[in-house]
Amino acid sequence: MDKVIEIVNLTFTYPDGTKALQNLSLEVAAGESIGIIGPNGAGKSTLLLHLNGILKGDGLIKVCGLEINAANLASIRKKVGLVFQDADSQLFMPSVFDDVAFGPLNLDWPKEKIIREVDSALVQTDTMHLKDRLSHHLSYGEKKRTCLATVLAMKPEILVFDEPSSNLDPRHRRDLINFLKKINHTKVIATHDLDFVLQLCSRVALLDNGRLVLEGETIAMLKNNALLESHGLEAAHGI
Amino acid sequence: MEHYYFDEYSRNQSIISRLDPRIKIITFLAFIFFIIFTSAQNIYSFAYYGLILIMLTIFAKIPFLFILKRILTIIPFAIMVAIFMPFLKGGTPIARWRIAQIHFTISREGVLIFWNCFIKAVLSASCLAILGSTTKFADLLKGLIDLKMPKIIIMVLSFMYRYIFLAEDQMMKIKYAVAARSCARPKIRAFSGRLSVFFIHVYEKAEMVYIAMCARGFTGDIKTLDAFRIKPQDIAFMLIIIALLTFIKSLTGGYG
Ligand SMILES: Nc1ncnc2c1ncn2[C@@H]1O[C@H](COP(=O)(O)OP(=O)(O)OP(=O)(O)O)[C@@H](O)[C@H]1O
Ligand SMILES: [Mg+2]
Repeated sequence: MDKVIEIVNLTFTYPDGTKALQNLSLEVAAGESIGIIGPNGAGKSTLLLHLNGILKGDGLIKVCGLEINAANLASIRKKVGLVFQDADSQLFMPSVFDDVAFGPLNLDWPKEKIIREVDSALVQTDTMHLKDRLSHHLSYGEKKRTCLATVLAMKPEILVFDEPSSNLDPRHRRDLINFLKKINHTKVIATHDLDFVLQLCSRVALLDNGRLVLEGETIAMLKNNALLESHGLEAAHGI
Repeated sequence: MEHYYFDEYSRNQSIISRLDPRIKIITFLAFIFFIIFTSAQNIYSFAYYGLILIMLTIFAKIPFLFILKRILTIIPFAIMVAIFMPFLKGGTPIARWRIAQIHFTISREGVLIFWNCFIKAVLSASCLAILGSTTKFADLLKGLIDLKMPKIIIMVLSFMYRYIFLAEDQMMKIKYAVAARSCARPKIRAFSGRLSVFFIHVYEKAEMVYIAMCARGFTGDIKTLDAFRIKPQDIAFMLIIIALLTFIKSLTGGYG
């Protein structure tokens, strides 16, 4: 098995003393889709922020064989596309187009390629019509889709999504699922939307209180009602 | 929410907004130098400068009210600096009166200094308003980089531009939140709390935005999609403006 992400004994404490991750170990194989589930405050977002070196806890994290450190940071950030839970802080340019083009510009691609990739990301997320709008004045779902576009436009090898389906209307949620099914990137998806996990992920990791409670094959995990309920979750309808 | 934009008319495809930003920066900078080095007595020169600026505003398709508002934001500062000059500067008195034992004298030289500050501030502010509102902010920064402005200043400007919006939105959100949970009680107490929450929010948001920029490969360089190429019309624009300015100068003579 080709490991793309390797986390060993990760522990992270926020500056105010909150222990957000404790001794967490996890591996993700190339091309695999893994769901990260758990109640509010479990540490999902904190974990994802480690994957491209935004937060730095104790322990080992390797992405594509590279350990995350200052020297590797730039190349790791090219490989890992992270969509934040909070769309507001991910959008910062004056227009949606500029925002989506920001990442590709930093990759120093030729102009034609940038425009092509930005356009295709806009089409992919159905945000083409918002191109010239102010990114911070969109509706929540539109912002979320724009965030997806900003990351897709950079063509990362690994997609890391924090609550990708939150705020999306049913049609756009369906579109997102279909799109993610189509592409064979490695995906890490943190969500409360267990049906979303069921449709996209082959494996699921359950987090609670900053610890990895259990990981396993999706259907088996999501069928385990007792387990889910003891960690504040509910089984998906599709099961 | 309404936002205040520096570069409101940069996308309107006027002759001026299409010019190369570097050329625009240089031309307007030259314009400001001409304004500064014109002596205060040359009323006609200032009138001509004003005329050129009005023409430029028309070509740039900017409403006059917009430019006027920009000027009004700068004028108070100029007035504050210059307002006491007519009273303090000694010289030929042109008016004098007494209020409660204190003599006030307005001198001719003092008035001239006041006028000098005032008119130059107004004209320079209009130059900057036209430059700023017809050039995309990112292009302006890129232009400044090309003209060898120190990187640290560019960074400060670019973050300031981003965070102003954040701050404004944040203030609005807190205002909504307070309104939603208070039923017409006096507002003073809420205000102090609101202010502290506001600063914390803006600080954290600003940090998140910086993180988000880094996550998308930002390393401190500002990049834009349009590579600048100087076109014949850019050169023409610069030459015409500078020729006009020189002509005005030669008409009215002397550096002040
Ligand atoms: N900036 C912060 N400073 C201090 N503590 C924080 C910060 N962000 C999160 N925490 C704490 O860390 C823990 C894990 O938070 P995290 O955001 O990772 O949870 P989550 O699993 O993503 O939750 P949710 O489902 O609500 O998104 C929580 O107890 C939270 O209160
Ligand atoms: Mg979260």
